[in-house]
Amino acid sequence: MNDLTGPTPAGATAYVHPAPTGDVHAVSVSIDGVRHELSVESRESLWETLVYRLGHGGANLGCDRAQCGICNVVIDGRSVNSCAVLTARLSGKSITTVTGLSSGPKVSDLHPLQRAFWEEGAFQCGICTKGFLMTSHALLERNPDPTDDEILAALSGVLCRCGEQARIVLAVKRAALEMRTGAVVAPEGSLPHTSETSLMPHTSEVIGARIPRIHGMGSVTDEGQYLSLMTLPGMVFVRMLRSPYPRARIVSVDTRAAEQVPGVVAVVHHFNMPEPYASTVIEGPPYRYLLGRDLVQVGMPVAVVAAESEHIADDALALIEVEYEVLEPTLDYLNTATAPPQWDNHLPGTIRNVIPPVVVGEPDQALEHADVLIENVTTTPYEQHVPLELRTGLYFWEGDNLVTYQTTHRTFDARRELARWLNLELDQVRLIQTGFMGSSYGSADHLIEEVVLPAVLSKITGRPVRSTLTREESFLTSAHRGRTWTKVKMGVNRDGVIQGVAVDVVYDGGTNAGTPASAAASPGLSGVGVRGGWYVFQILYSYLSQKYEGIEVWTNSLRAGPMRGVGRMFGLFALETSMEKAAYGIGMDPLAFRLRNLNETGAVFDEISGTQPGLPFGRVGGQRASLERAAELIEWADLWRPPRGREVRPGVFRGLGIVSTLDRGGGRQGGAPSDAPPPPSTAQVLLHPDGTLEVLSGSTEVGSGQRTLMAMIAAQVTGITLDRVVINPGVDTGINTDTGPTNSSLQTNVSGWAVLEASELLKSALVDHAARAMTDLGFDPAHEALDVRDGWVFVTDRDEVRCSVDDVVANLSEPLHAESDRRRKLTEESVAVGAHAVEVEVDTATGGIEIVRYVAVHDVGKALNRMALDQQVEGGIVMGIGGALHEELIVDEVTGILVNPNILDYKVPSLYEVPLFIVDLVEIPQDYGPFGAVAIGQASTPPVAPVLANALYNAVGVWVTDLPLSRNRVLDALGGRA
Amino acid sequence: MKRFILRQPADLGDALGILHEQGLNARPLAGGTDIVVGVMRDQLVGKGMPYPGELVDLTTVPSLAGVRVDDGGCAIGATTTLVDIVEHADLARFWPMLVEAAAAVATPEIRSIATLGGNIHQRPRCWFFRNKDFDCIKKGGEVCYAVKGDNRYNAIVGGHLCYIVHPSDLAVALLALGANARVASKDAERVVAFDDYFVSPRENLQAETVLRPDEILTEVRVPYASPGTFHAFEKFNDKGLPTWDFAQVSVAVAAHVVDGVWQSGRIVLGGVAPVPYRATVVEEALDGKDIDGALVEACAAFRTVTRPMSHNDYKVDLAVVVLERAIRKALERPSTPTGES
Ligand SMILES: Cc1cc2nc3c(=O)[nH]c(=O)nc-3n(C[C@H](O)[C@H](O)[C@H](O)COP(=O)(O)OP(=O)(O)OC[C@H]3O[C@@H](n4cnc5c(N)ncnc54)[C@H](O)[C@@H]3O)c2cc1C
Ligand code: SF4
Ligand code: FES
Ligand code: FES
Repeated sequence: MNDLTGPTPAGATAYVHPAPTGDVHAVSVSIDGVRHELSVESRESLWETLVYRLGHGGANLGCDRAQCGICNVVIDGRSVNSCAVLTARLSGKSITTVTGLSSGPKVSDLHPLQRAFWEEGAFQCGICTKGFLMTSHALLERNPDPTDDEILAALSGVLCRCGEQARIVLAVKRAALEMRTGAVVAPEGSLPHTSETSLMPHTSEVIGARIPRIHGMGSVTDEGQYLSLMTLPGMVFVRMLRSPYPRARIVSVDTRAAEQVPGVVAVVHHFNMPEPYASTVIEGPPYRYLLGRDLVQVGMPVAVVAAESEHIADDALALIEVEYEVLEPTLDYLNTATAPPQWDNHLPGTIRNVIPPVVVGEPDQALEHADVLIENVTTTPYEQHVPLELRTGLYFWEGDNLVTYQTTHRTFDARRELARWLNLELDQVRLIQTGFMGSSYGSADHLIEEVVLPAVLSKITGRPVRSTLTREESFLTSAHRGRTWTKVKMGVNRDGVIQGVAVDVVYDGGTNAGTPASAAASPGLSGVGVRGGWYVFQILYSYLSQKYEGIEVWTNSLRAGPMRGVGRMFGLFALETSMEKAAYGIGMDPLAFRLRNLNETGAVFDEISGTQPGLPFGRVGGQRASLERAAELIEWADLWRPPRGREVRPGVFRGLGIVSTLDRGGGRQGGAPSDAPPPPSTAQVLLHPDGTLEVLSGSTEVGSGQRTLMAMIAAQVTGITLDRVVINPGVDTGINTDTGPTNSSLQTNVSGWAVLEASELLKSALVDHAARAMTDLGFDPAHEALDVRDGWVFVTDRDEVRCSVDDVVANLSEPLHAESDRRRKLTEESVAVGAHAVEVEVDTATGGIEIVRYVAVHDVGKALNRMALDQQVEGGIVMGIGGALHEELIVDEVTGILVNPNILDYKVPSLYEVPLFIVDLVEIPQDYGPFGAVAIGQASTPPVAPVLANALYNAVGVWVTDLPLSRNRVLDALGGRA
Repeated sequence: MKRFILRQPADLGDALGILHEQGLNARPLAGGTDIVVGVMRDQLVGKGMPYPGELVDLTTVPSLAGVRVDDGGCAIGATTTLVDIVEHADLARFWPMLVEAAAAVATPEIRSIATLGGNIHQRPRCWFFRNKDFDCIKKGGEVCYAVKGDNRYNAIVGGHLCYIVHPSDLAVALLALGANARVASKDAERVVAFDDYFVSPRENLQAETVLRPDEILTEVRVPYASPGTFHAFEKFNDKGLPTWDFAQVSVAVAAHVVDGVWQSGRIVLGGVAPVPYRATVVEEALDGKDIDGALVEACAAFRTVTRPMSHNDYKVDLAVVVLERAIRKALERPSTPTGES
């Protein structure tokens, strides 16, 4: 049910959706066994009725277009998209949502499906879970013993962007078995638990185990506070009119008709935007203002309407008349030097930045004299994260202070930005992230108008505001992986030694102009996009000479920003396809060629500043071990043949590919200047007299299990059992302390350390406190020490002399308390390495690439939560497969309008596209990570495209170096050869 | 989304009466997965395509739903859902290709509310058409954006001013099965063979069928297979998945074959033309020939009728392959039972 547990407007009661007007229909339906007599407007969808009218939390929303399935409910026994049916047509129907699936609040009340999803790790962010649960429920009611194929077919209409497809099928099978046999089947490797409210085990020995999500109950029931389900009492909705032109100037705006629409509360646009908001520069140059007059991309807001419902706001938007002066845009990112300048630019056209080149050795000479010279041009398209939750914000003001709920992975950074753009002091903004959100994968970076304008409308109207982006708006406005063009020249001698490499990059930052105050966190301006690609080259392999050049350009298309590794994607694609071509060029086995040229020393220049030398490379051995292990698992030695060497059926060939991968997380954030301090890492822990250990951490949960991990670290270090550790799912800047954003794979190393340190302090306080009681039991403080494990304080080497933590703390008058505030050292960067290998089958007739087996090996230092780690790797690969084979956002070259801003045409991977995975780990602990761990969140996506491109070449002997490797490109490349 | 009035007539006469009075201002509503969730929510309007002021719910007219099998074949009501087609035992037995095509449509969720009539009459998926900011010729504007834009999914045959491909999987199968449409308006009823049902942009830029604004499809009649007929439906989408996405190329084959020799038949392609495209050039090339020997060349003959656009040459290659596969698949199966069996 959608009552927020956080702050709400003072004195208010529950939200009431406006009474229907116009074409009103009376409907009688049963929802989760309760009969409702409703009065609704014809245009109201079942989802709107459930969430807005009934305050029901049983269905999430991802597209509102029957394309994603996360809104699924069961109607008369069949799974249906609740966004796609009109409530007015449902009289007499019986509807079941996830609310009707469980019988109560306890673990034992859950439906076998709910429990299996939670226990098997069949979700990360959980935004898709209700849809999968209901669809599986409909399936099992009809077919109690489905085959794998039947499960796939039945669930094929629901998407999971976190990539948990394989586990979902597993969970459905397990639940089916349980329902048929009545027995509860414990998943492999799970620890027993006794708690009635969670699946957390009754032990403190949890590091390295498979631990399901601590707050998973919220994802498998209607309890998780996903913002798209949340309302505020008295709220109005905002919607935006958006520019249809990539570059234009607003001449006039006429809102008279729009203001007349009953239910419209305010209409704001350039000409009536109040100060100080009107003159706040958000970024630039070219300067971007809130509701500014100059429009630089399709989809930029022109006017904002606040109204009693989204439909009413849309009615008003349709009546706003705008006159534009249309200007010539820059759309072709490969020809920006000659484009008309759009700001006072010291560089030609709309080139933003010429990154200072890096030269090591004598690259030109080396290339000239090498035995073989290869040239490789690669391109990568615009891609988007497509987080499945429609991005939602809730806003209200308490006097001059703003309270807001956001779907963000950077709670504290988002507050800073909001404060700046609203001209407020930091402590005037309280920002809450509830801990439940459709994972953003980085897309929630760059809060622009979408996030600020609703706050302004709330201020102007004096009403709480809800803003939810449509799927199309989300495609238009959130950060994208920028388009790139890369040319690599590599000179190799026949002995396999790379003589030199020269890399030239064009990185399309789109309309990302960067913040004017500092270049931080703005890959469009600071060179991080380009250098992120260079870094891949210099870290993975060694070359006698190296040269790196690149420019970043501005185009009136989409905003570029971070997406699972800034610059890694194109960098690794360019590098690893070049390595493959070079190996073939000298007739050497591609695996042997890679092993021959590994970089096992260090970075020759710093990724972020470009200065030399860079940091020492702490991963010696990991990369070699990963490559060797991946080769073994894919059976490289037995199966590898030269191109077109394995025809398995007429016209169908198999091929192998293998590549290295890396990512860096930890010390600094992607866009931070080299002298910027590392993000803070803070945490507090409290041991209450009732024996519960409370962890306070500002580490934002985005689905990958950050909160679970913090609780696990606290349990392991303090010795208190995990089922007695509590941690709030959400982060509230009014309560928690800043501990950096959940991006750049850095939370394990940042917040993890802080929790670890605070827990160590707490443990010594606990041991001190226990000493007296233990002395009574025979403990000799002069010669013996105490330790804590599994909820017992015991004498080291004499663990029969022990006392339970509960007893030790029972008489405390106030909780034991410890905290950590730690600045990480820059050298505490963590570079994660690994190797991916694949076997593909390519049909030369259809251009189809089928993945036969996929192997991922990562050196993770130490696996902290094996379940979350496997999920991260698998999820990253699934996203990588989507990007490698199908996904690209297409901007029309003539008009600049996006042609495929929807889930169907953008082609997000479905349940069918998940290959047979083999995930294996190399664990070489690193002392800069907690327990030796290295963050790997972003290392598993970039290798997918190059490994598939290489395997495609190995199979059929043609290169496709423009991503994605879609059917049309493969067939074009095969051309006459098929 | 914008307002509209939902009319829920209890019988066919009322429904047709509203359409008669209102013309294009009222549109038939079946499952609503396209007209409501697609066309209206995405605000696809233009001079030739007004936003409907009223939707006439056909699912409240009981006589329009259901499957009847009799001596002459089957009659499927226009509002029969795709899932009811997929799960119908008699249809699976006598018209397996129709069931195959229905099962290949979209997602299970959509199939449980989408209808036969709605699938046949769904509007095109050309991505310029589907974006409100492109006021293209089909909507009544001046320009076809597919000509200069990314036309990888557009037509390779039969385009003219507008280059859509017909999106319906069922339409392709129905044409190959020699099915008929029963069409009603307030005062009249007519039967139109699907051969003559779909119109190309040359004939009408704004509509895809012969239906007048006041007419609806009430029923589809499919005859039994004649003895010795082999059927198959083969669909290829971008990802090569069984469902979820529209066809890049689909092929429905009904082949009357004796001793491996093509006697007669119908070969229909989806995803290649503004209408389900009957490949008579391939049929003729097979006529009277031993299929094994003639197949490759006969399918390649399809190339001669194509006129690909700037980004969709690959679809020609693909079409030839899917043609071969569909015909082979048909012949690998037992012949379809006739009404007598
Ligand atoms: C994610 C997704 C994937 C899809 N994939 C496919 C696919 O692979 N293959 C495929 O074929 N389709 C696909 N579709 C389209 C889908 O099949 C259609 O939306 C659906 O079949 C329409 O049926 P409906 O009953 O909901 O029609 P409605 O939306 O109710 O109506 C569609 C149109 O038909 C008209 N109409 C309805 N009934 C009649 C009638 N009896 N007489 C005259 N006019 C009528 C309506 O006025 C309207 O213009 C997909 C759709 C989505 C959203
Ligand atoms: S092909 Fe037809 S529908 Fe598509 S843009 Fe051209 S005119 Fe419009
Ligand atoms: S299918 Fe309903 S929200 Fe996506
Ligand atoms: S868990 Fe499926 S989308 Fe996140």
